[in-house]
Parts: sequence; C-alpha cells; structure tokens
Amino acid sequence: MSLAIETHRLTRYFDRFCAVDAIELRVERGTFYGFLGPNGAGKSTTIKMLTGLLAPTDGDMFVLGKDLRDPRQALEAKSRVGVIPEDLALFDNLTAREYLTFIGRMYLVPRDTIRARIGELLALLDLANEEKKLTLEYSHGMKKKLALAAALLPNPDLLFLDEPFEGVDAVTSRAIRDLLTGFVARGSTVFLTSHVLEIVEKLCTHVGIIVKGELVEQASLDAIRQGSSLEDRFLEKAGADADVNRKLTWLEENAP
Amino acid sequence: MTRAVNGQHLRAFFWLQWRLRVNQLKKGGAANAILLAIVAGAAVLLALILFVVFFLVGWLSMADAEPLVHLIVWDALVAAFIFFWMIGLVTQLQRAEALALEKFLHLPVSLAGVFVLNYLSSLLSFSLIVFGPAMLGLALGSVARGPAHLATLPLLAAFLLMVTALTYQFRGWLASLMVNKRRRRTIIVVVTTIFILLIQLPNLWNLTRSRNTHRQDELSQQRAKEQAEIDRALQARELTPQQYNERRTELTRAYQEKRRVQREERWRDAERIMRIINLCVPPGWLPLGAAAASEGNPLPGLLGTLGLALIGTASLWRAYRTTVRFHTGSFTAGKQLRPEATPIPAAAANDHAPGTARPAAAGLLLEKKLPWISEQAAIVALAGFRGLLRAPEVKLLLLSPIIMAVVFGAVILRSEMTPPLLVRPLIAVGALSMMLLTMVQLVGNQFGYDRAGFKIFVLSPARRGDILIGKNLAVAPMALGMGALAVVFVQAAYPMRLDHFAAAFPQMITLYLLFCLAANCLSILAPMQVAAGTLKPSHAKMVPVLLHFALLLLLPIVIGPALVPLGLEALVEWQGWATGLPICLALSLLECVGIVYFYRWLAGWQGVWLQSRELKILEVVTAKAE
Repeated sequence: MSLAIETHRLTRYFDRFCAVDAIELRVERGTFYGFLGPNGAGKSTTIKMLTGLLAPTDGDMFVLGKDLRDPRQALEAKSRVGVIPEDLALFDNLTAREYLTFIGRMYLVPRDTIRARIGELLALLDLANEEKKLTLEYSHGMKKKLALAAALLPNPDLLFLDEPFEGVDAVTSRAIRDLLTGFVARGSTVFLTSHVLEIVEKLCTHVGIIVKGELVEQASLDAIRQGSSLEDRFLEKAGADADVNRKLTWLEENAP
Repeated sequence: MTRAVNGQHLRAFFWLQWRLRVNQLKKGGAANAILLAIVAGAAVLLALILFVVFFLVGWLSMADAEPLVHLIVWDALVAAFIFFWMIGLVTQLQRAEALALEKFLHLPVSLAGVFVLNYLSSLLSFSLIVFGPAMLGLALGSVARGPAHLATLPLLAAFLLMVTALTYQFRGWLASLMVNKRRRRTIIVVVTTIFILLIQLPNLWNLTRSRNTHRQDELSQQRAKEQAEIDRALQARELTPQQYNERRTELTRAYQEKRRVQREERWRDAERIMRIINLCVPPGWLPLGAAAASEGNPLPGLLGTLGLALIGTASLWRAYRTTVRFHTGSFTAGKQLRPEATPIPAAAANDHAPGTARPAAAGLLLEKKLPWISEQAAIVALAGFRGLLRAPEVKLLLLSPIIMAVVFGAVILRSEMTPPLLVRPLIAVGALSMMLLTMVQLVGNQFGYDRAGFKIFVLSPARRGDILIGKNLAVAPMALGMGALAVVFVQAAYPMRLDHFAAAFPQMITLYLLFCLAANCLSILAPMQVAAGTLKPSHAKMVPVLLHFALLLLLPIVIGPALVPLGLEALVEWQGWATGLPICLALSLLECVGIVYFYRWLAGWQGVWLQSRELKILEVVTAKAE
C-alpha cells in the first residue's frame, strides 16, 4: 500500500530545544491515523511541518508522494490536502459563506460546486443559521466547525486535523465522526491529533505516540492495544506511571 | 470574612501590572527595553523638572500677576494635561479588552474590590506622571505666596478625581459596549476619528482665523490709505517735507493708540470669553478657582472643589453600577433587552441546499470573475477588498488622506498663486503621491493585517505571485478611487489642459503599480505584527521600522518613472520642437501598458521570493501578543 505521509529523520529545534527528534512517520493511504502525545510532546510541531506551516530543521517529508522541500511539489501536495490548524486561521472580516467561497476558489473548485458544497457543509455542521455573521463573532466551537468545513470543501485526499473535537458540542461531534469515518472508508486519509483517547480508540485504525519529540510507538490500533486499553498503553508509553502514583500529602490531611 | 480589597490585594495587583510590563519589555528585545527605559527615565526627570519649574513660576513669577495671567497659565496646563490624557485614553482603548472581570472574580476579591483595583491602575499613566507634579508644583508655589491659594490644593485634587473618574466611567461604558466584537472595533474607530477631528479643529480654526485677519485688518488698511494720501500730497507739493513728517508722526501715533485700544478690547473680550468657557466646562473650574484665589477670593475655588468632587464621585458611582450591571448580565447599553432572534427553521435553512442553492447576497461579490487575472488572484482580490471594507482600522487609515485633502486643500485654495500650465500636472502627481504615502502602512505590511489569516495563504496551493497580485488589487479601488478624486479636485482648483487631465489617469495606474511593487518587497522583507482591530504594529523590531521609513523616503524615486512622459513633453516644448501636442497623454498610456506587463512579470518573481520567506513572515505576523 502506498504512503500518504512519510518522513525521514524529521527534526525541529527551537533554539536549543529539540521539539521533534528525527521521527520516521509512515502513514498508509486510506488509514485513520491518530497522533497522540502528552502536552508539549511535539504533535502540533509535527503537524505544522507536514502542512508547510513550519520548516523542519532537518529531515525529509513526503505528503501524497510529493517532496515538501521542493516548492513546486509542496504546492501540488497542498492542493490535495485539507487542514484544521491549531489556531484555526480564519479571516475575521468574512462571513462563513464568504470564507468558504474564498477557500473553494483558492482550490480552483468550480463555482456551482462551491455553492452546493457550502450549503451542505453549513447544514451538516449546524452553521446554516449563522452564515451571515462575521467569523470574528463566532464562538470557538463555531470557528472549529467552520475550519472543518473549509478543510473538507476542496474534497481533499488527506486531512490534517489538530484537535478537531475540542470545543465542539456532542451532536456536531457525532456528525463529524460519521463524516470522517465515511471519508476514510472511500480511501482517503485522516491524520488527527486529539487528547480524547476514547475518540481515537473509536475512530482510528492506526496510532503513533510521540513523547518528548520522539516517536515511541507506531502501529495499528490493535497491535498497540495488545488486549489492553489504549489509555493504559498510552500512559505506559508516555511514562506517566510514576506521576499518577505521586501523592500530595497536604491534600489528604483534614480540610482547613 | 474576606474584605473587598486589602493591602495585599493591592500589592499583588500592582505587582501583576509591573510583571506584565516587564515581560512585555523582555519580549520586545534589548533595544526596545533600553529605549523604553530611557523614555521612562526621561518622563520621571521631566516630571521633577516641571514640578520645580512650576513651583518657581507659582512662587516668584505669578506673585503679582493679574488674575487673567493665572487663568491663562492654569488653562494651558489643564489643556495640555487633558490633551495627553486623551491620547492615552485612545491608545488604551485600542489595546483594551472588555472589562477584565473574568480574570479576577474567581479569586478571593469582591466585585467592588476589582473595581477599585481597576480604577487605581488606570491612574498609572504618562500624562498624570508628568502633568500631575507640574500642577501640584504650581499650586504649592502659589500657596507659598498666600493662604488664599490654599483653596487651589483641594481644587486640584477634585479636578484630578473628576477627570480620572469621568474617563474611567467612559472607558467602562465603552468596554461594556465592546463585548460585541463587531461593535467594539467600530467604537474604537469612531472614538479615534472624533479625537483626530478634535485635534484638527484648532488647525482649521487657525486657517480660517488667519484668513479673516488678512481680510479684516481694516485698521492697517486705513493706515495705508492715509499714508498713501500724505505721500501723494507730498509729491503734489501740497505738503512741505516738514509738514509731511509731522503729519506722518501724528498718523503713526494715532494708529498706535487705536491699536492699543483695539488690543485692550481684544484682551478684555478674550478674558470674558475665557471666563465663560471656564465657567461652562468643568475642567475650567480649576483655572477659574486659581484665578479667583489670586484675587484673594477662595470661594469660587471651594465651590469648584465641591462641584468637581461631586462629578467625580457620581462618575465613579455610575462606573461601578455599569460594572455591576455588566457582571450580572443586565447591561443593555441603554436599550431594551431583546429576545434572541428566532432561529431559521431547518426547512428554510435547507433552501440553500444543493440544487436549489441560492447564494446569500453577501456571497455574490466573492463569486465574481475578474478579467485578465487568474482565479486565485481574483478571489484573493475580492475577499481582500471585502475584508478591507469591513475593517474599521482600514476605514480609519483611509481617513488620513481625506484629512490631508481638507488641510492641504484649504491651504491651496487660500493661496493666490496661479501655477503655469505645465506645472499643474505635477500638482496632480503630487496629490496622488500623498495618497499613496498614507497607504504605506497598509500595503507595505499587507501580511501583518492578515494576522492569523496569513496561515491560509501558506496552506493554500495558489501561486504566491497570484496572491500578491490579488492583494494589490484588493486595495486598488480605494487607492485609485481616492486618487481620481484628488485629480478632479486639482483640476477644479487649477484647471489643467484636457490632455494633461486625461493623462493623470494612466499615470495614476502607473504610480500605483510601481508603489505596489515596492510595497510588496517591504511586506515580504519587513513584516510587522499588527494587533487585532488596530493599525499599530506591536512588538515592532528596529529594522522593519527603519525599512518602512526608508520606503517613505524613497517613494519619490520609486514613482519617478511616472513623471517621464511629462518631462519629455516639457523638453519638447522647451526646445520649441512642438507645442500643444498631447505627448504626455500618449506616452503615459504607453508607459502604463508597459508597467502593467512589467508588474505582472515582477510580481511572479516576487511570489517566488514570498514562498521562500512565507514561514518567516508567518512567524512574525502570528507571534502571540501579551
């Protein structure tokens, strides 16, 4: 099976701090890949490098077979990729419909198709009543839904989703989950980061765990779980055992 | 039980303010920190100097001065303080978030406590640090001359309470209104605009006044007429030289006497008007009280103290009520609370569904095609234009060319010069250049205004050259529209030859494209972060700021080629090879076409450069602000 994402010794330093340390990602096409890690492990840095928002200090990256180091190939890759970045990146002074029209035309989607898809996406994500508001007036959850709509609108082959369920209500969350499952079922790929392990366990077929910049595990979900729960395996890999057993004695004393 | 606010809270709050400032300084880099430390040191030094100077002024110079002098000195001090205080207010308004209650109310402090802390922290301002000691020095210096001036001290305290409390109430009210983000930015623009117009008022008044003085100085005209009459009489030998000298001395003396009377009348008028204004405007009660105290009458000062203290207290009370209403959710900005808008039924919402889809009206502009440019450049242009039209900070920016047009227009119309025909097109080019000059801030930092939105361009598959073309075209309707108005205005003031007038339009396009090429370079090379809803670059580094200044200085060279057609026509006419031919028009059209092709070619290369630097730009424009 060909690879949707492939990295060789992908590394990123911030001054002397190594945020991502020579990771070797292999994400096959048609998989739902969950990228897990504790806070500050390097998940967002990796996703930023893979989407072209951050340059690597060292290493190679291939997205949908395109070498991201080559500016021309990077643009070709971007035309087939949808992204929900960490801080969403919307234009404050456009309405939802205007913003989606803008995105559609940037990806050279025909105008009739844009119109049709916008209607469907806004209805599905429960934004139809809010489409005339400027995005600056949106709540965080609404912005997230709009960012998802923008990522899906060009009908990409690969989706990068940085915490897509954060701040989204349960009804919409369910709709998004169904939508993403269908997206993968047709052969497309999703690369997702999330802190909610239950969601990852429900959706993902493959999982990668990054801890302190190093990719400590990468395999299918079943292979990682090995009969245990994902949470246990994650905590074990993240080295959290010692932490959870630590106690604060003053909190266990009598209440003041 | 926890008190509303205690000393520890106060110390913690001031410590917080201090740490925020220090961290902000650290973020700005060493040069910035040194610069701000110098400014802060200079402000403290200035405050000390002003205290001493005004103490000596109050003690020595104004001892025997007339009440009017007291009134003028205090008025000047009060006006200067309020001016700088207002500048501080407008600056803070652009930076301020909504009432920061949510940051404190989960802590063990009461609502009243947070209110007091907020109010006290609002007193830490440059204008109060500098002008407070100056006013105190003047009051103390006056007190040293006599006990009647003692009334000035409480009057000064009441004045400061009134100003700070009133502005605090105003800020609180605006902050409550600004909870709605869309309204927030409009309010910032409206307040800033009003402030700018208020500042411009004296300038416009001065223009009008000097015009009136010029026209209405009848005394001088009469003196000149009388002088001409005796000059004529001397020449006609109706007067001997001795008689002439005597007559002239007599006329001069009479003229000087009339002048003196006129000056005294004006002085009295001014005093009367000043006293009325001081009486009507509460900040004027301080100068009025000080002037009365200099006459040995402390009563107006005491009444002023009472009045100002009442206004200050009432303002603080109102501000507190607003805070409470805001906190309890009953703040309505003077309007009745409206029920939530009825949601559109799902069926109606589905009218927009595929097949039957009818786009919302707002979406129509963004669906338009633009000729001769790519799909991606077109959508960047249309979305950019739509965004610019809605950004209040951009509207504010567009106000500056209008103000310049009013000020310079008034100057031009007042002058009686009649420039030669060949020079008039230069005035038009000059006006266009001025328009472009005011746009350097916007076009020279176009990615800075995208803020986090620039990420969309980085993520997009569009050619970066197309993005640059689109962004330049987004500003074009405003730049060219205002440029066209300027040309029409110049034509009305100093009619040009028809072909010169027509040539101004292709020249305008040439100028704009050359300007855009330079501004694109600046945007790529020296991006600056711009805080949301403001025009002000935040955490700007020295090099980008210097580069922006450099473009301002080099602008005449950048747009110089647009003057070549006019220069060639002037040369042809000067050499006498031909006159009256529309050479400038023909060459301007040719040059414009050439520049359009040159622009498209160079924008492609600039796009490659942009792609190589886009991550650096992204890093700068999306850096987290404090």
